[in-house]
Amino acid sequence: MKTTLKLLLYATLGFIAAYLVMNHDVLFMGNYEWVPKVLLVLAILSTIIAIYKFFHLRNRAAVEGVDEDAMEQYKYRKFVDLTLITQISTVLGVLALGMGAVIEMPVWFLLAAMATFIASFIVQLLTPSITKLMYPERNLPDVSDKHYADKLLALSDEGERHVMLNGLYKAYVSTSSLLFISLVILAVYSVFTGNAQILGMFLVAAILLISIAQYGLSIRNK
Amino acid sequence: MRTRLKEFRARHGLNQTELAKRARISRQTVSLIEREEYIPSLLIAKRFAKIFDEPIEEIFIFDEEEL
Repeated sequence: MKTTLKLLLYATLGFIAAYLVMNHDVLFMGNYEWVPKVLLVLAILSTIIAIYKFFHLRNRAAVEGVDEDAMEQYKYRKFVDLTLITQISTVLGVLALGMGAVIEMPVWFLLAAMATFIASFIVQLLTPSITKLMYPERNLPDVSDKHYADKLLALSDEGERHVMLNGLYKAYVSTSSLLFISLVILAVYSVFTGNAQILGMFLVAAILLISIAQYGLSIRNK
Repeated sequence: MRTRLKEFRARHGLNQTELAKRARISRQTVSLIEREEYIPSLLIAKRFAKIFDEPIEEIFIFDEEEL
């Protein structure tokens, strides 16, 4: 039942994607200006939320509640939410800036998109520093440390690594599938519209191959 | 595998954070073990055994088919 539903969902998504690819001119009436505008609004909103969440968590990071476990869980969830929203706002900011530049949006738009991207990127860079306030007893590495990610992984205990492994594996599987679907959509789009997406196809294929090779080689050599 | 970790923790009046500090692990790991979503290493199991002064087999119960 679950597989049938999944297949139906994929078929529907495939149909919508193909329909959009083949009828994009009719749907957008040749006017794409609203797309970067919507993206910029979303980027600004998510950046504001990220900044609010950053200061909110920073002010509460050292607070200890009566129910220690609930407080610890609350802070951990808030930190994960903050990490997610900063990443989303950075991606939306880049997308708004990139699309705005491609379709030659006015200078004010590009400046606003650039400012949003820089603000969200700064929050993203500062976010890991909160962990030092949340877990003062843990000898966490400095955010500026060149080997920050490696050291953080080494400091994590087995349960945390177990959680990370599950999350990363799910992300790896979905990223591989989505990149493959993107490759197919880009190829179909290029063929039907005559607007060749060669660079995009090469980039997607390269990322897919590097990711598969990195994973394959890292498990093969153990 | 089943675990009686939560029961022993309650008996000793410890919350997850306190037990985690004593076992030198994270609260998240204690929570995962209690929810039986993760089987800990022998080292962590031994630390729990030492904290509660109980043998490992009392804290973690394996079904016969698992062994």
